[in-house]
Amino acid sequence: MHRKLVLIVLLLVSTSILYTSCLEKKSKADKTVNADKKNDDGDDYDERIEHVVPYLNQMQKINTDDCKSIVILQTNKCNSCTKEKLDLIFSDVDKIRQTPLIFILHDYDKDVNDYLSQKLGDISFKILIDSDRQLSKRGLSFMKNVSINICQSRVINWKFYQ
Amino acid sequence: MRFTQFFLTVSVCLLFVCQTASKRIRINYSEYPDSVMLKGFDELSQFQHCCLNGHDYLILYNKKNRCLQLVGLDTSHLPKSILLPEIIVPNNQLNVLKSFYYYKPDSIFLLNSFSLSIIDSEGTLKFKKIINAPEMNEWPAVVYGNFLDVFPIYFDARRNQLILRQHCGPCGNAQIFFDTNVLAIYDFKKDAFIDAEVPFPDKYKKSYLGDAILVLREINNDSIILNFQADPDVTIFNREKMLLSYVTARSGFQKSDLKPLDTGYRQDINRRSEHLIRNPLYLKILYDKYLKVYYRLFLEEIPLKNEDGSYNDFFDKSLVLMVLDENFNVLSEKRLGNGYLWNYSFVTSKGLYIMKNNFETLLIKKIHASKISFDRIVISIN
Repeated sequence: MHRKLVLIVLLLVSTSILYTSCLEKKSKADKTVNADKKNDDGDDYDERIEHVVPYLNQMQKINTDDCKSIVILQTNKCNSCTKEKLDLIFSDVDKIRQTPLIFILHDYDKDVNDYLSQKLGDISFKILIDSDRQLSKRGLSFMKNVSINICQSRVINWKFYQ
Repeated sequence: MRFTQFFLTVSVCLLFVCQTASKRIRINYSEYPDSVMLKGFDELSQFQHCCLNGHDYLILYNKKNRCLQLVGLDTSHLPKSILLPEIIVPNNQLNVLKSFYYYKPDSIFLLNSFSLSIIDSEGTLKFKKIINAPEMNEWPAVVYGNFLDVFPIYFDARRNQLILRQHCGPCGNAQIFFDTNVLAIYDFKKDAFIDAEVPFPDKYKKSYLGDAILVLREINNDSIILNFQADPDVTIFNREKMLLSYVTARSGFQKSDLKPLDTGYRQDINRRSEHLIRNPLYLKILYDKYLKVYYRLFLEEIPLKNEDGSYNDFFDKSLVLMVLDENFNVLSEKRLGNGYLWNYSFVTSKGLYIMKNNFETLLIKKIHASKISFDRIVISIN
């Protein structure tokens, strides 16, 4: 009787070990599901846009104590920098011209460069290239172009362009 | 004594079951860098892999000079360049080349926005059919094409039919887009398009799944195998029997189902793009006729924001290679990591090639390098 009980226990243990070892991969995946939910954010554009100030200070060594107009052009995105899209930004050109103007491009784009030179004529502006891909790491990579006005290292207002 | 025998038998059986399972997934992966040199290209668009006289070639469309160029994978020379007639590919944005299929030198199929045609390798036009109602100011109810460049045309010589994608023309990204079936067959003998009656899966009709709308295909004899981005199921359309079937081939790396997106974001390209980053996506499926397995490519979901405060973009998503048997059972999976242009993938006798994203641009951008690089993945099944 005692021997039978031992055998039954052994049978149960070995069965469960085999079963759990077969399902090990599945349970690992299940645990990750819960961890992933914590990061499920998204409605945070205001917070993300604020990152432009440390980006300019740290990555581009640009002082942000005075007022500046920043335009981030998504040159790495499909159809984001067509002439029509850029024209949309320049429909706000009077507002943009009031302060030093900085364009941040995800990557060098000759067509965009030429467009800006032609459009702005003798108005001084600066083009910065995000060569270290820090815009996306700092949450500043969007599908839409964005203009941001900053003063005293604070974002005053910002706007997406369709 | 009988109980001991019973115990031993059950244990041996369980061990056998587990051993069999682990044996099935014992697949070895090796990765080798490979590359081809491109001359005179400044944009990479449609491509086709083919094997001619025992050599592997990539056929690439060079928009700059309106040529189909055959580039040797092993020799890197340009054995042939086929100039497309201007009547087929005019120098404007109205009738752009959407897809091509090199069947043999006298049968090269071209799909444009408004025409379907056949030329030979000298560029002589042999057939032309006007499609998609160019005389109208808007797209017709059903448009034949290569929707978003991931559904290249395929010529089935046995049936004298061309397989292509169809989609709703005027729907935009409204929900009724998913009421139009996805697969069209053009029958050259009947001179007519046939709706193969392959619908979007129900989940697309029940909720808004953002931009996870790509449909990708592979062809293996009578079967057209379809991947819908949001669907772990593989859809199989049997042309002989005109039958649809579905097999679940869910990735073990998929932590959750693709979540619907709030319909209020339907016109918000930023939110739609972020939705693609945060959700799992099934991509291309390829048949390896040498090993008789399918490769299914899958992109893992990732959070938009990491715990350290940094953000992810689409190219941070890890590509997973799934290996399926001919019945679409998952045999094995391997996380390949990020940095792949998964649509530029093909199978040769030497393995599975997937293009590396070694230039900091998306597919539509100009190539800054004259070399394109691949990872060649070789699997061996024990």
